[in-house]
Amino acid sequence: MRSILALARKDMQRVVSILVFSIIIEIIFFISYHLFLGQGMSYLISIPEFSLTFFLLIAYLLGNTLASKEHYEGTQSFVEALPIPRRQPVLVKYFCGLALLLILITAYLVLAFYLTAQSEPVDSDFFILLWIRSAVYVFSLWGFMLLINHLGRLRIPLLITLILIVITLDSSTSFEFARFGPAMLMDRGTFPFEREWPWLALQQSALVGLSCLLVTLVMASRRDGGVVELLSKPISQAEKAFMICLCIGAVVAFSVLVEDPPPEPFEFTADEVIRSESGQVEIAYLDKEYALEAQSLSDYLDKHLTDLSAAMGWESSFKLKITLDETLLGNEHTYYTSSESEIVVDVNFLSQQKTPWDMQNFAISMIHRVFRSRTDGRAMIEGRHWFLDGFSAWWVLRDERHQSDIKKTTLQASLYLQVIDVAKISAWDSEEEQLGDESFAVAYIGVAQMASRWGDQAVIDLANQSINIMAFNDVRDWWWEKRNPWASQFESALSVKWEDFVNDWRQHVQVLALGEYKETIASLSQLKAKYSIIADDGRPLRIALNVFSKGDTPKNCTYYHASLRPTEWSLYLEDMYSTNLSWPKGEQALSLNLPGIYSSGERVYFVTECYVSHLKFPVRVMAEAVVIP
Amino acid sequence: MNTALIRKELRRLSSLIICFIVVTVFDLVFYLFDQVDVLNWSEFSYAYDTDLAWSSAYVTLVIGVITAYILFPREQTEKTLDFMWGLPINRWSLYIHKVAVATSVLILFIVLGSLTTLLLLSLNSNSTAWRYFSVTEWGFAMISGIAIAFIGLCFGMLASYFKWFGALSLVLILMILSWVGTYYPVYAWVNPSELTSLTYIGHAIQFDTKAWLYHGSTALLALYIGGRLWIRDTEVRQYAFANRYVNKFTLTAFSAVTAFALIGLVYTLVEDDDDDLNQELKITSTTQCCVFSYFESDLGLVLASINNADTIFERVQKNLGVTKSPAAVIDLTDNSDTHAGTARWKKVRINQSELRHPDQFEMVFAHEITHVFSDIESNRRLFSREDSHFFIEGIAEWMEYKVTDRNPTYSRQLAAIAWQRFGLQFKDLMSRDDFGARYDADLAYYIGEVWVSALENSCGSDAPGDLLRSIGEINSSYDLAGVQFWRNRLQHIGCDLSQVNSHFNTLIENTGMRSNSAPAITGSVVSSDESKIQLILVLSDVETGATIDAKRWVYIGYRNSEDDIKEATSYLSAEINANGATVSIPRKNIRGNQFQIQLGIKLPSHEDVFYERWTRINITDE
Repeated sequence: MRSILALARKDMQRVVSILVFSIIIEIIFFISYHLFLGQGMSYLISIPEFSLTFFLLIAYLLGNTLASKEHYEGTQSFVEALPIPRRQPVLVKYFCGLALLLILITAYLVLAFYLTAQSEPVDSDFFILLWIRSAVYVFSLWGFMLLINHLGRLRIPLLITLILIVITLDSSTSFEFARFGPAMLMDRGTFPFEREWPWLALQQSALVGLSCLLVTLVMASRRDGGVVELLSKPISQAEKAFMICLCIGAVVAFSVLVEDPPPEPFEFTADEVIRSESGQVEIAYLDKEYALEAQSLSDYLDKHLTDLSAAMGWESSFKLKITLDETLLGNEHTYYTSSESEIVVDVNFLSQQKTPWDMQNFAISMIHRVFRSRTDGRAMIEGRHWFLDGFSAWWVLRDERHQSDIKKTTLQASLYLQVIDVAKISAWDSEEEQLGDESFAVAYIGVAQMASRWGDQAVIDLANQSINIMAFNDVRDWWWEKRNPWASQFESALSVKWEDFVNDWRQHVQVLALGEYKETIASLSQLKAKYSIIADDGRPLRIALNVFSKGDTPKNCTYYHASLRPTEWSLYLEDMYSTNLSWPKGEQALSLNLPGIYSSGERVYFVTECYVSHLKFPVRVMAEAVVIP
Repeated sequence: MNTALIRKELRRLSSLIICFIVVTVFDLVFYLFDQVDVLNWSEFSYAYDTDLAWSSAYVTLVIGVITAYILFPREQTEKTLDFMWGLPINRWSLYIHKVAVATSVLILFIVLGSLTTLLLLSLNSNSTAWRYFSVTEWGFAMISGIAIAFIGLCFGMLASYFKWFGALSLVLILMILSWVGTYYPVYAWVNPSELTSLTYIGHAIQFDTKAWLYHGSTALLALYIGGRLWIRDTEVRQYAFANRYVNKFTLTAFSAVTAFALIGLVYTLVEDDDDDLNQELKITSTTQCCVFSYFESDLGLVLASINNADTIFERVQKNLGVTKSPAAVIDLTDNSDTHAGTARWKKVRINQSELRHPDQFEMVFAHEITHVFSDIESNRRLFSREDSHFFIEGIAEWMEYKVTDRNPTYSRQLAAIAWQRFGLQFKDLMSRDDFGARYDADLAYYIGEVWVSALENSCGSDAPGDLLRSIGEINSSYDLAGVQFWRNRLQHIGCDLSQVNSHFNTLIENTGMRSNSAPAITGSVVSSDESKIQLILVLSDVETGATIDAKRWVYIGYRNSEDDIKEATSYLSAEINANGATVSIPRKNIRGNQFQIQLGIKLPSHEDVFYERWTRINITDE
């Protein structure tokens, strides 16, 4: 008994300053927390906050002072030389540390509970419950911290490893750390309010504490404490460097290798659903009166997707799940891609007044999306992005039913003759910001030219090589791009220089632009848009978005606008505010006034598209990022 | 500079240098396990990603502190410090050598990191990639990183003298500064995370000079004091004795300070008239459902108000299909300015003022009890989600009207105007923070109520409760979020999100409200000086922009930024006519040259205000 008391006195002397300073920290934390956050729902809320932050550090420091430091300073050898059982010093340290931590947590609990009792209906039973929760939490925490600090130079690497294991289990399995044992006992949401005993968490925590204590005792007594002594030797620089590399490597490997489990496939649960023959297309049409339109769309898409799957040699099927959303305009889609083999999209496939539904355009968008999903976006790498756009359009338009659409598309393309240039095609993403959906038309002409010159199969083969590619999702993608640039792929597939082909393509469109479509283009070139800032004295700025037409007037115009975040220069239309206005009869101008929603110094992106009736497609008349002066 | 000293310090810091090199290499390797050629500047931009800015500030600060702890404490433990002080070199020179070498190592690490960023970005050959890149911002990130690491080093030099107590104190001080910055945004500059805060005015970048002045000057002071302490440490023969002396002194000083502070706190809490600790005795009443806690003086009001509590409780329980009754504690003594009631796990606090209006009390009680049930039925998985706020408040609002047989006409009208005016879609409800950054946070309540009604209409009266229980079944490993999450959960209860949204649109249309059913209110700065900012407000037609000639009251909310907590938003009101209205905002409430306003107007017969979007206002001081 005397030896126990002597050891206890020795250990307490080592840690009394920690106890005192910890109480000071505790008080300051409590005061500061409630000074800023007030009482909140309860004064007891700060206990879990404290227990899961400072208390952890204090417990670690305590373990460090009682265990690690003793070995490091060599005083442990003196203790081991005494004629006492090997486990006795460890048990004394254990109980000293446990007592200290219990004093700390009890002091905090008493203070918080006293204040709580002034304003809440609490009783002694509740206090006992809270104290037991806190005490068992301390029991498990202290057991763990003492064990860790007996591991000497391995403690940091093992701590990191343990954290990684817990994170892996938490993210990849049904295990939830926040609902396990000690974490559950100090759960911020329930600790101040739950009046039922958390038996499972108490048992789990007790088990953790007991296991850690037993392991510590075994280690301390193994080979007369030789194991612990070996681990306590100072780590050399070489070992430190090795451990650092190992730890950081483990962290990186973990981040890279651990993947989230795949989400469940999405299934329609409504009755009003059409499923295509091949099973690739499902359409939820919500109301029986829309069944015909849904069937028509399903048949149309299924044909194109089935043919595409065969041409691209896709063994696994791809599912397109479409839902009717009547609030969308005809040219708006909202995508919710679930996985690489499934696309979920909302669209309005009913006929409308303002912006008519275009099934062909939708099919082109879907094919584009399929490639994008299957290649994890690699098909959209800038060098080959134009070809993806063009191939998607060509795949749909090559159907003989689409002769009139081909004519329309060709006209669209001829509006943007200046884009058919090797440099501009290489910077396709920048050009697309100006063109909008017209980029598909321009690209289509190029692919159609290829097909007319070398045949459909040559185009399909080129597509297989260039846009039906496997994504590695690592640096190998970059390396593959470097070794297989678009121009060399084109030239090796079709035995023609890429620049020569672009010149031919441009000439073909130029003939149309100067011939068949000359008048239409001239008329559309009279369609101009600009924005102006109206600053009345002492009144908020107004922004007027104006469209002027000297020739054919559009049916309506859609104005898109949104503020740009830092690093942004353009936005997708679906992410912008939009207003659609009908063109007033007999007028040569249409204006939208934005009453002061953007302020000076703000960066804003404006896009204006006008729908010209006889063209049957919207024309983008403005796409500009500006700073409001 | 003494090269031998430099070599010695570099040897001491060798493990840190290895760590930095390994971190940089592995950081590079980490990116190589992704599509590295599509990286763009937005992944690294502090202005674009404020979370990245915040975490970078703290991590860099901690790195500086850790470096400081390697410099002196270890030498003291290994007893090489005495040997070093014994050299015929000026002690300040020795101190400066240590700091200089450590600073150089930190500079190397941060420059290496910045160059790595450039290297990774250079792999992206997209024509738009470099348009997004800002040299100024990249330079700011690098220089601020170096400066923050140095600031951390300075604080660490002082803290390291007090060993672990210094570390704990530093953590505590940082937490307190973070709380100050959060709850008093005007003083946000005390928060170290402000050091990486960037604002764009057009293409120009602005940063918080006050934060830099404050932290820079205190860091230099800490460096000096740390130097004094470390150097004088050896002026006493036995450093152990010095430690004991310092410890006793520190112990006494801190004990005295905290004892006074504790006494002061208890005194303040007890003596404060507004605080419930000072009020008269609280008593409790227990009904079948709940334990009510209230002030004795409110006894009469409470008994009248809780008369129907059990009935309401049962109705909520029935509507949600709940079989087990939780024991809930209802505290009727709250005095919040911003909430009628709040709810957490099995506990509700309701504002004392609600007791004076029994009708209103019933609605608040139903609302908050629904939150308690929602938390329980969803197995505590609902409230932690970012994409659930509209549903959390929506189901509570829906229940309010359901169990009290009142009409949600007015709130639905506001929801309808907002939905159409702002072109909202379901996906806009998926982020509480993003929604609150752009729109009136109360809209989530009104829109949520309509959505839950649509859920009931399309999937049956059991659907809301079933959906709660469905959410409670999943665990964190699924990791679904946003629209995908809601589709998935509705699918599990045999319901379709598109059907629900279709019913939602019908309910919105049935209100008869359009986007122009409320006039547009706009405002801009007319003048500003040191004491106030003057705004001019104008009423105009939504579509034509023409000024409306009407006399109405308008309401102005203003805050520093979307990161401010709700309690930090201030409100004014003014009467407007054909010439507009002028209001003044105290300059002292505004930090920097940018703030946000939200302008609102009441519709006829409405009690609630329809607010426009939050608008950013830039101030150019005259």
